[in-house]
Amino acid sequence: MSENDFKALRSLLRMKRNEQPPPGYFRTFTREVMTRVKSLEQDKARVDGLSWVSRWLGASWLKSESGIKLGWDGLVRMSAVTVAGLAVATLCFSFFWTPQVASPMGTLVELGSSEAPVAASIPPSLPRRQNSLLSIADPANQTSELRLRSLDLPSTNLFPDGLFRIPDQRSVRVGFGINGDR
Amino acid sequence: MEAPVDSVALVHSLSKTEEAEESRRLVRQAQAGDLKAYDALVGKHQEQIYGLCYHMSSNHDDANDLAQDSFVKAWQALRGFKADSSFYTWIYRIAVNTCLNHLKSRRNRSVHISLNDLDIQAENDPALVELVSYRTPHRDARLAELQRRLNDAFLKLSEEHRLVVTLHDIQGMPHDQIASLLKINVGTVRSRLFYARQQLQVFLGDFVD
Repeated sequence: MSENDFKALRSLLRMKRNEQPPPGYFRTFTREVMTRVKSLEQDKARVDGLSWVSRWLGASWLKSESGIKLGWDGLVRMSAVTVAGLAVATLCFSFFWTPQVASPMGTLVELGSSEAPVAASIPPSLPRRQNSLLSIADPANQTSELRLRSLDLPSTNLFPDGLFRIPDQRSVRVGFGINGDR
Repeated sequence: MEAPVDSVALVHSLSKTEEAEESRRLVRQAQAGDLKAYDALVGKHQEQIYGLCYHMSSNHDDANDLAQDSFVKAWQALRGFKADSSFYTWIYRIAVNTCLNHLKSRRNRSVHISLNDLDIQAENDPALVELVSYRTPHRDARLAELQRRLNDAFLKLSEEHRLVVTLHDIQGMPHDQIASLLKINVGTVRSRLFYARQQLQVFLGDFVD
């Protein structure tokens, strides 16, 4: 069977060339294609314009055409950046923040400040309890004879004194002296 | 004695060479990111690509999406395009693959053919007028019937056979170009065409006997 045997059929098929889209279709077709192409280019430019970290991160995100997918690689990268971010944040925080405590008068006194010692911040008119922490810290009481004694502070121990004391166990009082005296 | 120069053939050959050179220049510019050059390339090939997509899908909306997708994919892959084949062949290959992938995914869905797609010019086609006018006085009805039967028959063909009939009998592409495009032998193109025409002749017996 030759090509001529299909002459009528080929004539019929050639008529399909007349099947055309609606009038004016090709005027808008190019515009629509170029709109999509420009949109792609804008997305690409946006990705290119990101910082190297974002690109490094984005590499594992934007590979997929179907949307954002965070694979194992992306997870590792995200974790690494999170740890690095936390470390930087901690460093910044510790640099700018100085610990502060409330003084007995309610004002804030910076710890370690040479201009405002703890004892000096207490007004002289206030009565000082003997053996209190404040009296020990007072420079006037810091003599060579100063010994650390038991303090008259209420015990926070729930059990009475001696309950857990081992029988025949001698307790040794250790004294600390300033300037190496004992 | 010197052979006479066929001036018409020479002009035709020159214009083809110039056209090919112009196409290469546009491709180079588009590869460098020139959107206007790509716009010109789209305008140049849109009708053939749309036609291919339309005849493969028999649906205007699908053809529109497929043709647009083909050009967008081509833009994305343009930087990797080596000039070892023409842009025309390359974009055709992208469109063929886009259509075949679409048809595979659509295989289980029903197909709706729009009968309004027959252009008014078809009524003035001498071959069509000859085919339908002497058979019946109800020319318009026969025209619509012919259109429907033709599309039905076309959709009964396998995708491979429909493709070669579309490229050769509808779009007029030569056998060797189809073979190059589909990366098959010319003999395979011919045998597919023969088989497809036989099938169509059976489906359209009333009109082509």
